[in-house]
Amino acid sequence: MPILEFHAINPLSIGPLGLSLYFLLIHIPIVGGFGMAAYYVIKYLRRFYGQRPIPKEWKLFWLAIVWATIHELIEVPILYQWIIGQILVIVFFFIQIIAGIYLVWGTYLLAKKYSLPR
Amino acid sequence: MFKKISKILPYLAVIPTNPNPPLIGIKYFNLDTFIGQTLGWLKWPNLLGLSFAAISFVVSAYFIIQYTKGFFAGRQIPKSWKFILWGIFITAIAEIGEMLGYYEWPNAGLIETNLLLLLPHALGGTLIGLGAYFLYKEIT
Repeated sequence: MPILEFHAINPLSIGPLGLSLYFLLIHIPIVGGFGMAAYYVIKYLRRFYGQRPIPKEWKLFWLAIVWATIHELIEVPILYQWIIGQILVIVFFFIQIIAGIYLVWGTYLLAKKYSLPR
Repeated sequence: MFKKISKILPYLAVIPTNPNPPLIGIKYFNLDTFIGQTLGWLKWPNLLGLSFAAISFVVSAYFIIQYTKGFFAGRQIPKSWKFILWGIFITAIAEIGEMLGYYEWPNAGLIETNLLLLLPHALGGTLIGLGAYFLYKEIT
């Protein structure tokens, strides 16, 4: 595997045109859904808490959604091989670990506050 | 428009996918490769990262169930949290499918690619997005 390479690959060349379009269009709900969630969660928190500080568990949950969006976003150049190489795999590794930690930590604190025994 | 894109980006993938993919490609599953490229020393970090992502979605789905049980305590759980929970759970399935797709490339099976990777990812993303939208709409 090279260290890092960039390639101008046609996203409509992954297979027959219909299949390539299907691959391309299905990434809209994947990346858009997580992006939309990050946007509305912060809007919800700003509206709900107003001037009050946002609790740590909610901040972490929002950060988890932001990092999950970055995770979904980086999968597009990986799939289309616009970027290939060891550096990309390392960056992808850290994004997955950070997103996973925030997701588990945020939801754990939410559960702990309202449900899990303290 | 497609011709225009093809002129701007004329190149084919570095390791193109098999134009006639198998129905199930599990026999091509190889931990030493990622999108057809040999991983070398990155084999185990890559597996750890992909596994961690899948496990974290499953664990967080469990914590969200606990949170909604405790917070709503017998009251009906709103649509927003139902959507977020299902979105996270379905994305966990997609993360497993993602591992199969990446490791089977260029012979990723049609079932793994569609039923475990692309469709659950799209459904999971849509549900989480809609859930967050409903969460915001519930207080506005």
